[in-house]
Amino acid sequence: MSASILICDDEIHIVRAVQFKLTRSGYDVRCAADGQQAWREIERCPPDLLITDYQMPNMNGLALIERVRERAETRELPVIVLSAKGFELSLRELADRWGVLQVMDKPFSPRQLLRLVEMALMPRAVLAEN
Amino acid sequence: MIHQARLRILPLVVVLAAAAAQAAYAADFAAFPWPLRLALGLFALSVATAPAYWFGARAEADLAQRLAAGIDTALRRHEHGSLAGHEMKTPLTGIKAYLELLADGDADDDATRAEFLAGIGSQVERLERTIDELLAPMNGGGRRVVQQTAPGAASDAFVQPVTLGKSSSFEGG
Repeated sequence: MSASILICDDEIHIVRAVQFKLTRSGYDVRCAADGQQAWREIERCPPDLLITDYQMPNMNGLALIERVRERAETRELPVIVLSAKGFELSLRELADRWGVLQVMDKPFSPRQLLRLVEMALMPRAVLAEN
Repeated sequence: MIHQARLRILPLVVVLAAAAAQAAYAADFAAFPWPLRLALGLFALSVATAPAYWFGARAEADLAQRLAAGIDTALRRHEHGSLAGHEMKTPLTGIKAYLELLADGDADDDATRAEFLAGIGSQVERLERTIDELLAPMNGGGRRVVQQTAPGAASDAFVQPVTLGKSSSFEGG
């Protein structure tokens, strides 16, 4: 069974490109246009990995991550943040306090994102095989 | 706040001190009880130092105002730069992603390739609008608008500048 990934970004073209790349690589990809929609998806069925934009309407990326970390079932969910404001974010705080694996600065390469996704999901895949 | 209070009260102090000095001069100063002489002396001292004090307070107030204005300008420039960076990086991300997918041969069929090309075209237009928005203040408020050569075609990315129009707000994202 392929790993499930939830992509959350209010930019339709970014979502489309990332979804295309990851789906083509064999992942089960779901999409959300903002933090609230993503949270509903997570409550309905928690993914194996969350990729979220930082700046979004309704609920931003950090608020979404806060909710994810508050809930026991999703506390350990790996999270990758996409951001066009990377230099303004406290990367240490995102990593230490919120457990964010990586912040990918926009414009990013879908190829690089795929490599990061594979690394993020590798331990789980290895564990599942054993 | 403190500077403004000082500026308001100082003219009153000057007037009172001048009146006291005048009274002391007209009367027999030596016959006054010592507390009154001390008070009048202090008033006289105020008269002597008030102009320097007043100008000093005004200079401090001016400096504080200039510093506040400088900080405000720097913050607004930072916010503007941050917003501009975000607004330019967002369409660039779409362009870069679609180009990479096309270059890697990820798009297997013509429909997908056409979809990605159209996506690149729309993001190029958005980027142009953003750049026009940013340059508008330097161009006297006007902006360049773009017109599609063939609506709906994959060549939407190639657009022509036409007229100058009013500025519009940034797109969200």
